[in-house]
Amino acid sequence: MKQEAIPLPALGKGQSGEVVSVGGAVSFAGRLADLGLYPGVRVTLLRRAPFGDPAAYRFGDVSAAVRNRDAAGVRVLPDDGRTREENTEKRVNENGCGCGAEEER
Amino acid sequence: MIRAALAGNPNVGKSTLFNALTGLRRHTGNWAGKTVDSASGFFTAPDPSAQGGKTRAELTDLPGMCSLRCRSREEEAALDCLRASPPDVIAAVADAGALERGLRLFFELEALGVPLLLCVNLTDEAEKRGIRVNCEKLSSLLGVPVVPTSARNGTGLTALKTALVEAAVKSRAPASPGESAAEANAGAENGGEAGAGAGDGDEDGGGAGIADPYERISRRAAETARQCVEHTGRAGRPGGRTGKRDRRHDRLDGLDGVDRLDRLDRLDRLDRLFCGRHTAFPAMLALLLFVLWLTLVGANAVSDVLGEALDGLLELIRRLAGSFLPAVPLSMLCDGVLTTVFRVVAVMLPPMAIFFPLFTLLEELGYLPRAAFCLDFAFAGCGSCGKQGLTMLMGLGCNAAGVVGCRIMDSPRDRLIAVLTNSFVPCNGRLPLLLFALGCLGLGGFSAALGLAGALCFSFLMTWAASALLSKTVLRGEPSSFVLELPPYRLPRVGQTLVRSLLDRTVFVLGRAVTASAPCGLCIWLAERLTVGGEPLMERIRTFLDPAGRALGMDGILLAAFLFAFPAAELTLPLALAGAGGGIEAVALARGWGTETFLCVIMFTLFHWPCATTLLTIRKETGSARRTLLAALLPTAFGCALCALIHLLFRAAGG
Repeated sequence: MKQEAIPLPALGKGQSGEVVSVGGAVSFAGRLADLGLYPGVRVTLLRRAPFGDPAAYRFGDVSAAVRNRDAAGVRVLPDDGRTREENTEKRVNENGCGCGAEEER
Repeated sequence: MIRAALAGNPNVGKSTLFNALTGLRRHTGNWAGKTVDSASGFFTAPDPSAQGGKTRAELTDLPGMCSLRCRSREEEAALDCLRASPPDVIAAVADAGALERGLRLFFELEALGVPLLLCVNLTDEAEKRGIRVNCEKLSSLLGVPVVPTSARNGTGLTALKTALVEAAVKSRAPASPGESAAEANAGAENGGEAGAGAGDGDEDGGGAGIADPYERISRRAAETARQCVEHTGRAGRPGGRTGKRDRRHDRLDGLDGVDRLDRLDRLDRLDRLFCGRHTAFPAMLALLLFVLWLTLVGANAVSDVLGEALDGLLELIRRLAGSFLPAVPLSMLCDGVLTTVFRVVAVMLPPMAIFFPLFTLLEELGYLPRAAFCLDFAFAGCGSCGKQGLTMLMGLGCNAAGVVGCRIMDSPRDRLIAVLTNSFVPCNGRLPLLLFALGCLGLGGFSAALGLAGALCFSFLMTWAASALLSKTVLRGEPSSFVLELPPYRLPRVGQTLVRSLLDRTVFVLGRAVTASAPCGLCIWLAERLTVGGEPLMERIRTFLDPAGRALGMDGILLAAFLFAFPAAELTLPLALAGAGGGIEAVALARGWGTETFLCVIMFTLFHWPCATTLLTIRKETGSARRTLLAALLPTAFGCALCALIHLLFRAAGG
């Protein structure tokens, strides 16, 4: 099943994807690249802050938080399979911006 | 002498390594950007050229850098330091648990042309996570010595010292042309091998043919890391499975996200508590309350004992010195200098010496970035950078340190907002004064801790208000994009951290007692005795300040104490007590100090001009006298407005 690339913050909690492109300011894209987030890398949304923004991501060996506004420039190809957490939660991330839509465990 | 430098990504333990090698005590903490300036120290190691001889080496600890393409002041500082005086050898420090990232910087450093060696630090932590780095293989791939270390446990330090000295000596020795050519060849071969490795498996195109040099470095780092990192332990994945998935994913990342989640240390589940949607803020408040309560209880116990002991000591000195000193110098010594110094030590030192180590423990654990993560919504709301949360929390320890810490912000605007608002959070030197005022309001034990937590939360609120004000007026603009790293939790070595930072803080305050409190005490003593127009100078100052003090709900004595405590915040209370001339209860009664006065003291303690050290730091960091003035005026204006408001409210209520 072929999926469309979505903005990074639209990933569900615990969902992974592959980075397709990194947009936004050059300096910011550089920062992300320094940390190890560049096209081809797999990224997981770990959790969202209590008010939904920012969200913490894991890529490579790094965990880092990025504000949704900034992360929106990063497009990812989400995994088609549901993540373990979503399976146990029986929840699918349906809203486009993904801001605080789902419950924390 | 040999000159060596430690360079590496933020939070790979460079400062811990530096401390372990040189025996110095730089502050360390578990978050990226803790160290923003460089420092130098010395170590000795066996000299490879002289048998049994020792050689002395100078070691420089550089601030962390993500890459040599600098984007923030800390990285600039690091690179400036490297360029201004290139060391004989650089030890690139990498986190064994994040080797790929460390290698990216390593390959960039390689281009500088300075002899390099790679130090793979935090091996103990990585091992616990089931990650082992094959250092022999890495060394043969990179063509430089690779030393595994665990700075916290002190393993690999001797090997690192020796390797540093050997590499430096080798680089200094006029290498025979044949040898250096061979080395260059070896380097090229290794580089080519790694590059070709990246190219081989790359379906999209040859790795060697990639135009962007940085991307080439990334691929090379990823490839090298893949070859040398061995996953062991519980989440070890059988090699055969690799073929099932898109091979490129596995090479670039090793594991997919869910497997990684399983692999995370048990400690990382703390995130559910500290960052969870419903638990984050209760946990934060509980942590704050607990730390403050411990500070309070501990400080009370120590303060009483210390106060009595020092009173006894003062009497003893008075009697001993009285036998050979005339009355005036004796009074100058005892009533002027020693009384002030002893009050600082007895009243101010205990809360500071207890709060600071507890704060350090949280820092070592890695809580600070989590708190910044949860508080970011507020900073986003007032148009400032989320990293300001980190510097704001640093301000709780020391405002000057908080101001220097602002270098972690990339954009000058965000940095300036953070610098200007840093002293809205009371530093640890102002805590005892808050405690004292709360005590005067009749709060003790847990209710005082609650009151103090309330005061701190209020100071956070005002930080946001001031940031919002700045970003809507003089510093209009959008907050720059930022990445807040969330490092793995590290269990602090509680005993050592407590003892060390307790001693550090004690030494620091005692040092300041000599350099700031003693001269200040002397000045006050003089001001009380010198007469101008038939009235003591101090009295004139107080009378002069009285109307202003009263408009702010206090009086001349208190305002004068705040003014004279400019060199060091911890002086305010001793000065107020000196001005009051004795027991606080008696003076409070005689002068009519009441709830209003102490509420205003709390407000003014929270918001007034930063101490001299902080202002000097701000001057240095911003390079502008105008901004420094603004940094002093902004909190003062807030404090005056709040105090005047309280005063008016009380007057309205009192009729």
